Amino acid sequence: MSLSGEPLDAARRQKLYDTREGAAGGDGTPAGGGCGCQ
Amino acid sequence: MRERGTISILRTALAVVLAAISSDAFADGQGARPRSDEEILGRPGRALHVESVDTRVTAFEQHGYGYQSQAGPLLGPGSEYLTVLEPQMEVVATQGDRLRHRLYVPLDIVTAASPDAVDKHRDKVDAISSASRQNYAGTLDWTATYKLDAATDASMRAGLHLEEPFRSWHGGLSASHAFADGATVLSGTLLQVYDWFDHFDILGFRSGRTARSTSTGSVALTQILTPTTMVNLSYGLTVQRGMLGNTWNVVPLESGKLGPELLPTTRVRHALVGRAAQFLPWNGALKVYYRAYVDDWGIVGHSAEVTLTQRLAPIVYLSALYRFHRQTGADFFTTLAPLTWDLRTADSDLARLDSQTIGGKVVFDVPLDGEIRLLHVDFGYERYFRTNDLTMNMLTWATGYRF
Repeated sequence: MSLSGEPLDAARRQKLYDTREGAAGGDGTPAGGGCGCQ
Repeated sequence: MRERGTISILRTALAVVLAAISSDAFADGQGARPRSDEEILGRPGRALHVESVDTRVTAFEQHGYGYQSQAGPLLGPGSEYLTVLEPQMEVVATQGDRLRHRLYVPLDIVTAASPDAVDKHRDKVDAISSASRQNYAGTLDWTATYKLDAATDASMRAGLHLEEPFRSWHGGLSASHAFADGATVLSGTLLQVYDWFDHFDILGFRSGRTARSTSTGSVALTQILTPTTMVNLSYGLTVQRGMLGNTWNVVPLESGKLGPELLPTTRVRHALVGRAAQFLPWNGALKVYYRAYVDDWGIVGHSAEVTLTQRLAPIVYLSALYRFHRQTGADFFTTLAPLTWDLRTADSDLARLDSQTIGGKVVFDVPLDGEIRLLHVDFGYERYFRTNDLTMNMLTWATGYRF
């Protein structure tokens, strides 16, 4: 049983929140680094 | 004479070939050790076995207005209209019994109003080069996980991100160890990201390159409580240094003009996350998620998410999602900044806001005979909306193969 769901679905959703919310990131992924595309 | 000599050479060559063939035939016929798969294919530890290939395409359409955008009246707010087409691919392969590879490749094709509006100050040229109209971005992300023993894994991750005005590299290490026959798993991750990108002023003039680094460390504990219940708790610390904005966001000033964002050059961010998953007796599953966030820019956030999954038939299930997020704004957020402020931003993403996401998807997992064990197909829709004038519609669809 996966806690975070299907990886690609979780990744695209996480990317949305990381780029649209100042209080995003840190869930085992960098907050605000990397892609600046959205 | 010359003809006889040629015939003689041909006869000799034929005899050698026949002798070689009959020697092999004799050897096989006498039961010599047949060549193994290992001899034919090489050492088994080197052979890649593809376990799964997944692809997903997501289309985003965003509408809204924010004071950081110049796509509107002088003192804003300007349009935040944006579309993104995002294909993703993931390939998982094993190499022997201990080594597992994951290759993840997301691409983004972005059309955005906000950077395009920066161009209106310049004749003929394109401020963010052609990226101001449409930006193509892609990432290569490779993680190799080595099983040290039955309970311990170690992983290395490396990757790069490319888009027209932006380069980024990342690398990381992680490890996990299972206790109590796998009922408890403790893991830790270190990840370093380095971004290197063009610096533009708010009129679209490029003034060279700038950079930022992002360092993240996290620890997580996963516990199986019962055969149908699992929980996870994680903490992540992220430290960022360098240029922490996109360089061309604007801030309306009390003088009636626009000024650039002025951001701190460091940011320390903490996130505490709890997750739980529970199988339900009617062929369903419930997942809950909560995250508390705080950083030294003055932002405090709380996010909660519930996902409910219900199997309708052996190959079909439905999934529904709801998420609520609340955050305070950065200490220096404003929509009209006094000239005396040393720090200022009008970025709507850094404002006080509530956001909600609702969505669902239908999933087909079809078992197959043959080389493909399982075919996965899903279609989903989500709507994201905020209290500070931003909405987004998302369509997503995926295919996957298990071998």
